Amino acid sequence: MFLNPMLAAVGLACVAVPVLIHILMRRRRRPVAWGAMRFLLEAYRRQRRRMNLEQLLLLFSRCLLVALLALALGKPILGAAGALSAAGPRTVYILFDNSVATGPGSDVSGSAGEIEELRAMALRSIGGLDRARGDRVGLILLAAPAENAVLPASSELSAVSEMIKQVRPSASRADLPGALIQLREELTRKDNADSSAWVVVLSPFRAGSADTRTSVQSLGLPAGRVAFIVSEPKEKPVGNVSITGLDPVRSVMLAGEEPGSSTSVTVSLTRSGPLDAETSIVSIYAGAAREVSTTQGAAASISVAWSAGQSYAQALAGFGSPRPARPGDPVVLTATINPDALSADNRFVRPVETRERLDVVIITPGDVGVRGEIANYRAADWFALALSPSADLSFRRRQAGEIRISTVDPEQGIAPSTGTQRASRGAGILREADAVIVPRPDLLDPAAWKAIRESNDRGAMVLVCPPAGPEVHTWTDTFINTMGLPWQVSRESRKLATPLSISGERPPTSGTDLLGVIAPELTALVGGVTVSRMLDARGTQGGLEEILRLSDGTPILIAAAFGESVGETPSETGNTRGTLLYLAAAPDVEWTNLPATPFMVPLMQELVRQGVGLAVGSRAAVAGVPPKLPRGATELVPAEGQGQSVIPISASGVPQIPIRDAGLWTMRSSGGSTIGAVAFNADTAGCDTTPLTKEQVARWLSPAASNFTWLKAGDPAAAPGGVADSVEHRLSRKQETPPISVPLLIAAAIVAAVELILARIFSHATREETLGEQRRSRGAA
Amino acid sequence: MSTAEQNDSVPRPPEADASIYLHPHTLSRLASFELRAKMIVEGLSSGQHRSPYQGLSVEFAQHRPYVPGDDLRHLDWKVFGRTDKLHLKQHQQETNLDLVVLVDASGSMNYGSRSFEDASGEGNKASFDGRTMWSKFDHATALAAAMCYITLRQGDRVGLAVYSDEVRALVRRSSSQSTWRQIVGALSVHPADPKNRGRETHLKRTVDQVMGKLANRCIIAAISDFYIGAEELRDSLAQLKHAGHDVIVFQVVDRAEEEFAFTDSAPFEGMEGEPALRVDPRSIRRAYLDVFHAHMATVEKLARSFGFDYQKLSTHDWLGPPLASFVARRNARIKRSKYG
Repeated sequence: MFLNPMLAAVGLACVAVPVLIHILMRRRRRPVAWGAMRFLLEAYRRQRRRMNLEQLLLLFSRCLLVALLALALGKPILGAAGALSAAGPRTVYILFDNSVATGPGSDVSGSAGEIEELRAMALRSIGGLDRARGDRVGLILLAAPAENAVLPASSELSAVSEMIKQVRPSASRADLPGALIQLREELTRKDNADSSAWVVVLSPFRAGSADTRTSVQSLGLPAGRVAFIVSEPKEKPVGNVSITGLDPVRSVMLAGEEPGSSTSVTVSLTRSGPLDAETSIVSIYAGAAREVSTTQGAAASISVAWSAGQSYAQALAGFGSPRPARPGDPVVLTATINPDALSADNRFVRPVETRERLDVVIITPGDVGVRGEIANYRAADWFALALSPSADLSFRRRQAGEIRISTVDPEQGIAPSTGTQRASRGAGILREADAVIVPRPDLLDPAAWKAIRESNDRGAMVLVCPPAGPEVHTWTDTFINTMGLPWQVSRESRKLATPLSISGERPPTSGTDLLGVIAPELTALVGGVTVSRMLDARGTQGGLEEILRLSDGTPILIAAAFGESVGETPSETGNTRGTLLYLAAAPDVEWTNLPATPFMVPLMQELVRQGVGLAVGSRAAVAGVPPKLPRGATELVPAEGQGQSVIPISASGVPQIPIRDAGLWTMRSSGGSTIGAVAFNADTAGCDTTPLTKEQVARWLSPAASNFTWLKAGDPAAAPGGVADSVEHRLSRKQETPPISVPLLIAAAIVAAVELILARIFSHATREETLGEQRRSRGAA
Repeated sequence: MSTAEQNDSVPRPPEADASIYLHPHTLSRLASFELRAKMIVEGLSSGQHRSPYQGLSVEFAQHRPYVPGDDLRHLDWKVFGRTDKLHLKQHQQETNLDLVVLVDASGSMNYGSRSFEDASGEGNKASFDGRTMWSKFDHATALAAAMCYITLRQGDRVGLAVYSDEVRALVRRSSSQSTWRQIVGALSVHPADPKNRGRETHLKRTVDQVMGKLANRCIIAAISDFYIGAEELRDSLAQLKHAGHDVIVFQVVDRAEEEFAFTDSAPFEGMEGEPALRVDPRSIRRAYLDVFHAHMATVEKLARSFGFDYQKLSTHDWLGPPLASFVARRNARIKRSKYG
């Protein structure tokens, strides 16, 4: 590839000139009649091989000299900086950063945001191209996931310019690695495999838009085929505070709560840039899904004082429980902070699911009720009593509270529907349940376990405990297999030598803390609770989470991974499986005195209230990151009127169109019913305004662009044309440079010197001079 | 006067034809030869008290007029007393003192790098046939003419053979004055003549042919560049030695052949039918000179190995000095052999 291909071609053709000269000179020379020809022929016979070698060496050196001069004039493209031919059509790929880091702020680049500066550079870049010349431009937007806006490159330059004018900053982080993958696919297309291109990367290159912890893959293209022009990183430090979390204490708010009750939320904040001492004012708004506007009065307002160097803070705020517009509709919590560098991360929306009450099903033969003597209470009775402690367990009372308790008799059959048979009544009840408690698993047949599994898959919390009666438990295999648990549950109960108490120190949790609300009082609550018999369960790392332990460390209450599928990939289940708990001791006086202690009530209340909330549909997601939506959700409907259309959800629970903007969406099932809400918030990882140096950016980009040109937005050399002029400037500067390749010229000079030396040696010029001197001296004599 | 004997295969040169003998062209050429021979001989004897051209025999034969340079010891004072004229006594020539001159007229003898104007000594810029270069053959004919002139003037018998691949012209031995004309005609068989151009040297065949004409021992002067193989030269000299002849080897070369100082890569073309060769002369010069001088040394070594005299002559040098030194050396040798 040459900058002056015609010159190179003509020059290379000139390699034949020495040969032609040799041939022509042979023809033009008049022969010399020579008398002593026999001696000349004899000398030639002796020296023929040496002279041929000398002639070939001379010819080769002269041809090489001409070739090097031709190549020097042609200016071969040896580096990435010369990938674009000055003569041919140019292809420019613009990798445009419209991530959250380029959004508007108060003190970065005014209200317009850095995207306007990048936009101007991109437009000028396109403006420098010439459609008549055959120039083309491609556009990839970097907001995660990187979006193929114009690929393959188009010659409709004005249309691409209009498209760039319409680009708005998103709420997701920059995805340059993904953009480079798309670029590589484009450049390696069959019909594009041999062309060269400019790649103009326009980004502020702060820590949020250039995640140097991730690696950029190589384009895998030959050196010199792609020339990179990269905007210089913004080195001015600016401070920015992001809201990274807004977590209510209760995952599910019950509409039946009495007026005047309060709700607590935890607000998480991170800070980047200069970590000076400052104060952030956090305002929290609460309302129905359609009332998320922050124009109304704040439900709570707290002040977070940052100390110097502090980058993370949490604050707890309490306010009156909001009421949903309708029972069952989500309540939306919104947190905002005072304006700073980036505004997109100053607002965090969190929908909170509301229920009129929680439906808890206890699978037990007969009904539950007050039994009088403690010894008469069955496990089901203890569970019912703990969940409805103020009631007398009459059916009417049980149905009227915040937790509605129903029972299903396993002996009457719990069979889910099949292709030919309708579901039994019990299975129907389970399908609507928020929580299922199984105190007598030994009475369940496989069909019943299957119905419980279906209920759990839909999000219902399931609590299983061993029955009190038998010492040998044959149900455990069916339980493990049907529920798909990577656990091992003993078949024989173990009587402890001495009753052990429950430890007040809880093991660390990896997910939402089910007992977080009562954690401060846990030590006092577990006092006096002992366990004398248990049915042990063990599980592999990651498939089992301990919630409560005995004093010797034996887990007594364990759970499958909260909110995560157990033994299955998220894509298979949509990640909506409910919490699954196993209590290793039967709530029976033969096993433990737990049911008779005060701890039983808060324990069951928290397990049900928090456990149900973990699996419900309402959740917060991150813009640009595929959310894990519950099974059954088939489409997303914008709840804030973002001007977007309905987005279908794939079978794997992922929106078919990536969502890059912040906003609130409601999830609908195939039947059109709302099954929850999901809020997409700004990707705070992309809001890190920590400045990066050129070296850091260069090192990060090095796998893809080992050699590139920096582009400074305010570079006078680039003005007034910005990138385009800069591209042109690079080219014109190429032309201003010596119109010849200096390294090749040096090589040609070396070859010329070698040729001169060889010619002098082979022509025996020294001897000629000596001969001339002899003649002169003889003439003088 | 003897009649020139021409080889049947060679057309008779116009100078040898009696009908055009007095043609001005021929006369001018004759004058040139005669003058050239005179100049050489007179140059040799000038300033000497003793002419080197005294008779080579002891038997008295006749008188001849004195010419400056003759040895005064040979003056016949009795004749001077009677006639008041200076005459020298000439002695009877012995049969083995006949001179036969062999002149090489092959293609290679046509080479010359010295200008004719410089070499002829007459101010002529070109020869009668337009040649501007003094060739080896020109040099050989001058030498042959000089030797024949001297010999004839001394009353000795002289014969001449001009040869290339075979004898092209032959003049039988004679001491008559007409022999001079025949010699001049025979020497006109110049290799520049298109009919003779490109002919190779074949000394052996020539010797065979000449030996057939000679019955007694002679002095044979072979004038050539001797660009022939060493074997052929050895065989030829051996044959002459076996027949009892005394041979003088005159090897005529051109300075350009000795130096090979060419710089232009023009193709070299053989003058005896050799293939042309395109070569950079500067790159092959050393090898050429090695081969050339080795051959020269071989010729001299062969001549001396048979007891013959050897004299190298360069076309760029005057004939007088080498010829004088040669005659002096030869006289001394004869004197040693006859009277020593």
